[in-house]
Amino acid sequence: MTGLSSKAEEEFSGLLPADASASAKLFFEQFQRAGLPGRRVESWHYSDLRTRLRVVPPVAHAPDEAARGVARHKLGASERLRLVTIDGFFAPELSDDFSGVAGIEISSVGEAEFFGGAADPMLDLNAAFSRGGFLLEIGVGARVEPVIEIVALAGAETDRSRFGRNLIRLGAGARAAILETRDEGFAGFGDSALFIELGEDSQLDYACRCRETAGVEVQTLNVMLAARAKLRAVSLLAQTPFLRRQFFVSLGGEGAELQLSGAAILGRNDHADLTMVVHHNAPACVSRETFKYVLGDHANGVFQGKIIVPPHAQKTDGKMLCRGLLLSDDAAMSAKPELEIFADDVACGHGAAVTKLDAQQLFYLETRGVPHIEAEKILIDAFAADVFDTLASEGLRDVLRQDLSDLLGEKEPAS
Amino acid sequence: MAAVQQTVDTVKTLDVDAYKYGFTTEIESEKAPKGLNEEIVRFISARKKEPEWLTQWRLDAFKRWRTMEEPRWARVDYPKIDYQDLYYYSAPKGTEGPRTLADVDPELLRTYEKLGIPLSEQEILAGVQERRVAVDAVFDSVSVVTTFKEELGKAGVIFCPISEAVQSHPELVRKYLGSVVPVTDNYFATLNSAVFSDGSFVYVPPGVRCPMELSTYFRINEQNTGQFERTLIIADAGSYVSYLEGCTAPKRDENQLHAAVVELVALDDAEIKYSTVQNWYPGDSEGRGGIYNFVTKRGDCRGARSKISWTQVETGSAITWKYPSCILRGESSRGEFYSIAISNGRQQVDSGTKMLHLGKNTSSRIISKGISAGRSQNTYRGQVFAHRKAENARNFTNCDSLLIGDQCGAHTVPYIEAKNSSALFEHEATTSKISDDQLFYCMQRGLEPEEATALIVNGFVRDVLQQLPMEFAVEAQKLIAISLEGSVG
Amino acid sequence: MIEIENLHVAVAGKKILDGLTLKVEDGQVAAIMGPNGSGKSTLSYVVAGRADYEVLDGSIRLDGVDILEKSPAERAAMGLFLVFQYPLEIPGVATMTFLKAALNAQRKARGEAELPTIEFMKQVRAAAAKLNISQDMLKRPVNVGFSGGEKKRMEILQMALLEPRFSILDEMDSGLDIDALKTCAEGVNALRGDGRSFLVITHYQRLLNFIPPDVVHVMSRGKIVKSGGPELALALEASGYAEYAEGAAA
Repeated sequence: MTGLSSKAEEEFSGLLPADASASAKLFFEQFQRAGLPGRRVESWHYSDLRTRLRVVPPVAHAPDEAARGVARHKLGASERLRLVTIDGFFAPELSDDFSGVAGIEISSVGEAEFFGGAADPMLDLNAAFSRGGFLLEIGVGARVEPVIEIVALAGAETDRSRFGRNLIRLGAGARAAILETRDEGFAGFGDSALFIELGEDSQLDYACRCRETAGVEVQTLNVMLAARAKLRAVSLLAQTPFLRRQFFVSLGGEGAELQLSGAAILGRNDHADLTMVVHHNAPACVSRETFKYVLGDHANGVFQGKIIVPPHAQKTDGKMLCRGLLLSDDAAMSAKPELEIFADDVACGHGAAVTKLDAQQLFYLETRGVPHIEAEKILIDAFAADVFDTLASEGLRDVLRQDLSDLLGEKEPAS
Repeated sequence: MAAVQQTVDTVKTLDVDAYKYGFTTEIESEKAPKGLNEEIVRFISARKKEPEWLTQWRLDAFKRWRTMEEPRWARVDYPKIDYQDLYYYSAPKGTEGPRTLADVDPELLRTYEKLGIPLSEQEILAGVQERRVAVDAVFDSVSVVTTFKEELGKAGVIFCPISEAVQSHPELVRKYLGSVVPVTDNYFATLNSAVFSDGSFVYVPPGVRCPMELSTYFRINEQNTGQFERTLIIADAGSYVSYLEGCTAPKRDENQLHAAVVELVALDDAEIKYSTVQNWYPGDSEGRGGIYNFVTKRGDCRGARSKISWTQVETGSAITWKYPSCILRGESSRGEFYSIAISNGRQQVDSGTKMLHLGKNTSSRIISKGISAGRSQNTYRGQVFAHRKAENARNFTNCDSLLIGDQCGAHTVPYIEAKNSSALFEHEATTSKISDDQLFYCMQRGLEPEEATALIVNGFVRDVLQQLPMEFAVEAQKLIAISLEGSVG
Repeated sequence: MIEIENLHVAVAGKKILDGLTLKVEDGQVAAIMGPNGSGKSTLSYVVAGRADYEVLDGSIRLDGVDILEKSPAERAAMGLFLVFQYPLEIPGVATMTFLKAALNAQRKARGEAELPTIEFMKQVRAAAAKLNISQDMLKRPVNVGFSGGEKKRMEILQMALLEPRFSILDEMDSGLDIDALKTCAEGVNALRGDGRSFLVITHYQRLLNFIPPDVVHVMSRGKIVKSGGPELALALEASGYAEYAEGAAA
């Protein structure tokens, strides 16, 4: 409860179409009851959305020809199989034809169709406004070799509110590697939702690179793993004016495994908040959360991780690690790695460290002839890149490594 | 599993009522009427013959308190407290005026004797006690006796009830009271500011190393009585003092409120070592009764190179809500927090610390060991913060939790906030259980399950026990065995 | 000393010991040899009283007293000692504290007075010196950071200190080089005598060169399939276990 409603909350109310469906209205009411989260809400303490989102941009419409033109231009050519969204709407005409690929089913969805996931006001807001996403299904036992790429683009107008809502579902025993590229420009407001459901014994490698995120953006991922399913997920964040990327994971079947990792390379006034709630809902599940932050200029990095182990989830193995590298005196890092444990036969732990670059290592490199800036890049690269190693897919690892190296290449000298 | 199972079973059958300090003292008391209003605040202030500024200070706090809400963020759960159903002042009769041992009601002396607290200076001097400890004994709302005052006086150390310090050293009290924990700080601290009854006052002059351990022993006796003591310790430049507090209360079926405030001030190069062995009545195994321990403790490392070290062994109370903290303001100052928190039965603990690095080259260290047994919930909550100007701030945190049985919970909630690139923060936490293999190994060597458990638990908490003054370490070790015994087995 | 009769034991529903009968006389050193998986380690755990082992039938008597209902600690106080194949690490607990706690618990159980600290220290030092255990090792937490050999020597130190009447050595030679093995064996041999018996469990003949047994039992598929003198061990060394594995299957 946030007491008085903010101006932004009232604006949302005005933006909801009068003919919105009953369920959309219901979700909106739910959002209104909780209100726009801000620093007074414990789980949003470090990301004060209430203060950041003063004005709500107009809600984006389904893409027209002009929007498609802009998107097509930005998209260029690629060898990867691509699924494209514009302003959060699935755009089949820009996407590749998947009909020839065995085991993949893609369909459009209208208003929010799939539910569940966490109780979160931003997820409710998304459900109220979302109008068209996709459902990507990998059939039972299917092994999809090529990397599938999801590309999220903006239309002709970037200063819009976007509410993408998509679902990825893997049938029992299926395997796939998915790359998500978020490139929606630096303006507007985003409140997206991605649902990932993994059937028994399925395995998904999933990498997301946030290259251009909206002025204010919240990304919510709802992840459910059945018995023995494995998810290896990596997020690479850079240039995020104000991003909250939150994961709600349920390890719902015995022996499920989660590798959740990420690196945030931030500068300017960037704010990136990676928040995750990992619920070990079945015995003998394994989870590893590993996140690295490189913070220059006035950047602000936030890590919030919570591992929850209810009484029946014996033999849980959960470990969380968060490390921040501060390159500037104006940068800041906040970390809150939590454990909430009700079962006794568990091995859980977390570590967190905030440091600067190791002067001795820098010096050592310099004595071997590496210029200072290069030496910094080498050390930063070494610091951040190991989070990619959790991915099994060589293809995905290469993409992220290249991205990181490009990012560091552009990087201004730190000091 | 059998060994652990056995332990778990013992925990179940156990009444937490291995509690050994649950007796009551039959003594006549003078009480203020039940309830809280301006009149009561004035009554307490008048009873203590306080100067006008302090009465006003209390009234301001009371006014403020009425506008505040009880905090709800901690992981503890208890029914709403009816603040009008409590006594805010209770004093054993005949405790007015100058107090020496000779004046103290023999019944009270017997109480402290039963609790193992040395009040007789002669006995201590005669070498019955190995080391000398000066004691301020607080019974319900008032201090009944303070020992070794004279000898401490020779060194220039002031150690007396705070109510006495208000009369004898008003300038010191006025300067420092509320300077670390402001009147407006939080719900319970503000309540305490309005109604605080007694507590200890310590002033160590510049360059003086306090010649003995100082100690306050708190005892809640009366029914439906809140205890609101206030402790203020000032270590002037270059001085050193080690202080210990102990707490017990009788077994009673209803909950009792304890909302204390402790303020520490360390000036340049001064050091304060503050140790607590908290053994308030924890309630019975079904969660009936017990103390609500809602305490605000904060130390201000005001001077350069000053040092404040908190050590706590928490085994009692139905609910514990306390975060002994350090404000590291002075350059190169240092804060330490060593904690053992054991919960059993239906106890709920939400405890930890705050290390606020404001000055350059400040450092802090946090070692926290939580042990949950029975149906208890044990949470570590701690904040480490480095201000933009806190160049070279250093923190090391280690918090480990141990679970005994499958009905309890162990939780860790750290907040790590760095706003300076030269800060170096490290944090590690683990949660585990005593392994069956370890237990079996000990038992094969002849130890009973409960002895084996106590042995392993003592190993688990050793880093912290080492921080306690020697004689208290031994006491604490026994206390751990007792609180797990009958509880652990 | 110890009499095991018709012992049937299951672990997690799987039968491991299948009617094992074994007797070790006072002062005797008995060896049990057998292929991997024959149930040797199970036997040592069951005798020491480890949980998770379900005794379906049979009895174990120590000095004529049935010990199956007794706790591991009670059995230890009666003079039973197990040299673990993999000794446990106990972080934070100083070795000295551990030794003293164990020794005094056993003395107490037997109605003896606690050993004065000075006397205790003397005994530990003397025993440690014989086993090449440094003061530094005694200061460290129990077995933490010890090498395999150091851990085994620490086991023998405990044995020397607790003076058990009946010891089970479970694969004492595993993870030991020849010098460490000699040191440990000397420690064991020093305790041999009228009042004490040993059950040496091993896969290899090698250990028995250092601790010569009075009798040798061959175990296979959860029971003793053959017994004989020391020559039996040598024969096994030459021919291997194949014969017994098949024999039991027949």
